[in-house]
Amino acid sequence: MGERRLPLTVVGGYLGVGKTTLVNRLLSTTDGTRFAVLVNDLGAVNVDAALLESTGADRIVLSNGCLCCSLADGLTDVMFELAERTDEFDHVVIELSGVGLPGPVARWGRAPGFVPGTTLVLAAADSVVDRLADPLVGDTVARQLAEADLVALTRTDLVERDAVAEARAAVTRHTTAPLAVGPSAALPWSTIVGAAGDPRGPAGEGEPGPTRPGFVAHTVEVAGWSRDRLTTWLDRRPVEVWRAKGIVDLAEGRHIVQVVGRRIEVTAAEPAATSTPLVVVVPEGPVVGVASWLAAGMS
Amino acid sequence: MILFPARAVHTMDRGRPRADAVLVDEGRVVAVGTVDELRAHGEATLDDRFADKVLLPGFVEAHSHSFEGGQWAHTYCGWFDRADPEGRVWSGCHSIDEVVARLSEVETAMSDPGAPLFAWGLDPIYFPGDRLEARHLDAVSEHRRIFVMHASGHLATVNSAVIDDAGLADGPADEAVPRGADGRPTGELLEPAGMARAGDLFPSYYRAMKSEGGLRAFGRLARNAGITTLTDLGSTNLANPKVRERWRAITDDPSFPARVSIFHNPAFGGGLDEQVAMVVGLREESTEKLRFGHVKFILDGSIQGFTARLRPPRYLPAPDGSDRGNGLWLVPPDEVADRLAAFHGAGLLVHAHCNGDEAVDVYLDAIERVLTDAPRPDHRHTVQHCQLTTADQYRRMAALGACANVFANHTWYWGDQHHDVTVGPDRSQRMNAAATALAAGVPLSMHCDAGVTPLGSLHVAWCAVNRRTPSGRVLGADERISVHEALTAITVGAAYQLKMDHEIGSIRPGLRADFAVLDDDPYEVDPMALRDIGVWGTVLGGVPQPADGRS
Repeated sequence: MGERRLPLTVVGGYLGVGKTTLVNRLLSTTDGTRFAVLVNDLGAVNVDAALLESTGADRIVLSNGCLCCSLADGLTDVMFELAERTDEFDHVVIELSGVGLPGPVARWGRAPGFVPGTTLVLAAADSVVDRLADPLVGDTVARQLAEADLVALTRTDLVERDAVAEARAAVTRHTTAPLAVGPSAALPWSTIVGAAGDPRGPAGEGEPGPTRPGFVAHTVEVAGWSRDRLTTWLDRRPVEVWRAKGIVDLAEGRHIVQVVGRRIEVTAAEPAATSTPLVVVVPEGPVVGVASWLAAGMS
Repeated sequence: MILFPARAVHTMDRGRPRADAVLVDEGRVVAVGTVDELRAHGEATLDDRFADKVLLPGFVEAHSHSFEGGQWAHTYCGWFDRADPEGRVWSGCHSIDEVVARLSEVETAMSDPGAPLFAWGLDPIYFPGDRLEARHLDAVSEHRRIFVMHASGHLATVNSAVIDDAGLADGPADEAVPRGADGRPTGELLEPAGMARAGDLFPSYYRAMKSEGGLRAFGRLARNAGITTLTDLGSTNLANPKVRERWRAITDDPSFPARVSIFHNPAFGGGLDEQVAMVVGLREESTEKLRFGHVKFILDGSIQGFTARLRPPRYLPAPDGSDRGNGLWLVPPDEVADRLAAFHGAGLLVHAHCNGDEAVDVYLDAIERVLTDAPRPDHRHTVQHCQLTTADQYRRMAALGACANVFANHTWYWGDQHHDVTVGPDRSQRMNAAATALAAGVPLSMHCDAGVTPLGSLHVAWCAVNRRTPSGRVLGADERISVHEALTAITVGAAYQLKMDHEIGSIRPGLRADFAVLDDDPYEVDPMALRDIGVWGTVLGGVPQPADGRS
């Protein structure tokens, strides 16, 4: 087992929220990130045939460096295998079943070979209100949302604007996690998943990933701030701000800053790391509180 | 032909419930009757080794798991006395001190100083308020690594040797490795993710449990309990040909003393259509002793783990007064009917684990929908566990042609906890309602869910007949059933639910000569002594299989 540790993202959410779409998108990535994605149903994985290098009963190997593994024999065996192969991947994503609770699985982020990444729970704008009211699964959906670091509200293009607001309100009654809201196709999935790579690894260039329509990146100059000042400011961010990243020179030295969803990590950087601006991704357009928060950071 | 006279033969067949002897040829029963009657069939060798024994159909355990054998690779430290595959009874550990004493005894006898000590069966629900921690295990050894798996499978406890070796005290604190007031890890590791922090210990623990020796031990434990047909209910991945080949090699060995029906569990993943095709194809691989072709769903968790899905009023509040909420779904309820439809449509039989009554509702809704779309006679879809199944649900099961396999052993193993902690006095008395099931006309079996509780069909019957708890309560006197009803459930009742009752489960002409050989007559002993009846062993396909220490 090498020194390298892979960020672990857990993706949850009930049926019909777009988990499989997300998995297919990650596996088809062209930004060079080598994802190892663990899924319950390998048969649902659908990537461009041109990317297929080999397919087996329990795994698909792709020419872009990605791997998709079935969880048929349980999570433990696959995680021990990946912990031995950290040099071959950049990021691990575990897709839960529709009723899976993220918490126990996310704990694998502390196991040898891994670092905790985002616990991402998907909710669909066209179904989450009904799901939460469902006598059989409402409590499960609510627990999934409560355990999320970040919630992606998907399928917003399939409903009226009022319904999106209603869905957003229903979700925020069950979680304090920030929301990424948008049509599934437009959401910047690799950014949401935290695909910019292991903050402690060689790939930590500070780019928060490509932005997509509906999102804008702002640069904030925080050099010379104390660690306390930075974390206090980050703590006060509006819920719409769910992604920020940079390698910045604080009063206490060079630090890596990672914000994914409600997780904030400020850790000492390797001396060799090149400093970058702190980049904050926010939704496009006027969002209450974002401008004043950014202004407070820039003043 | 071999003629076996016995003190009594209870056939579990209405046509001739009781006989003096049984005549066997080529592994099958030729006839039962008096010795004189059987002479009419021609020349036979008289084998009178069972002259003072009582023969019943070999017991059929329709809900067990092969890890029952494998877990004996490790040291037992559960609350109840338990017999190992060699027939040696390990006394229960009733306190943390007794756990430590048990482990110390085993540790002292270990020859390899570097080998870790693994233990299993610890269930903290029996010593409330006390938690096993590293400091207790350090009294066993400061140097040897010790790993104790709890009965729930969600928690393990390790000693300081493991904490130091795996560096568990380094780095930031986290919830998978809880810490005490002194900042040191307590030794508890939560969930597989926490257990994996103990390095190679966690995979080693499971590897040993899944060994070939464990599967063979499973067969010995069955024979020692009078069981001739076992199930491995969805606990091994049949998509893996190596798994099937190993089962085939073991069951082909004449010394392996049981038939095994191995169910496919869709939780092992893959597309539904491929799974259906696989199970249909697997039926062709069945042999006399190894059966494939049935399917196991798991809908919810366990009641004692508060993870079963319950109808209101759900669980009692926690000791601090907080609401325990409801349990966990293991399959999205919306998917159950679609999954059932796929297997049902291919003519397959599906058993579904439903501990809580809300899970039963979901499964019965699925059966009703599937049968409405695709009626199929004699499907025998079965609700497994049925622990909180209510009278209305049993009536609905009867109407749908569904069967019930009731977890009767729970009354003994967790009955007091159900009364005091999980669901309270009223519902605990209604649990595992075998009498209500029979009154509704639901085909009934009863099980032990080994290795959750030990393999032992007479114990299962004893529970259903007496409904005693360890504290001495009779938990739900009105749900007690008769000895005959209980013995029927663990023989022909279970065989029916495996679609094997034309082959096993009773003693009559043409059926396989599978017998349980008992020292005493269950119809004559005090019902409270049912579980204490000595088991000589079994006869499997006409071949005597003595238990350890018997001949």
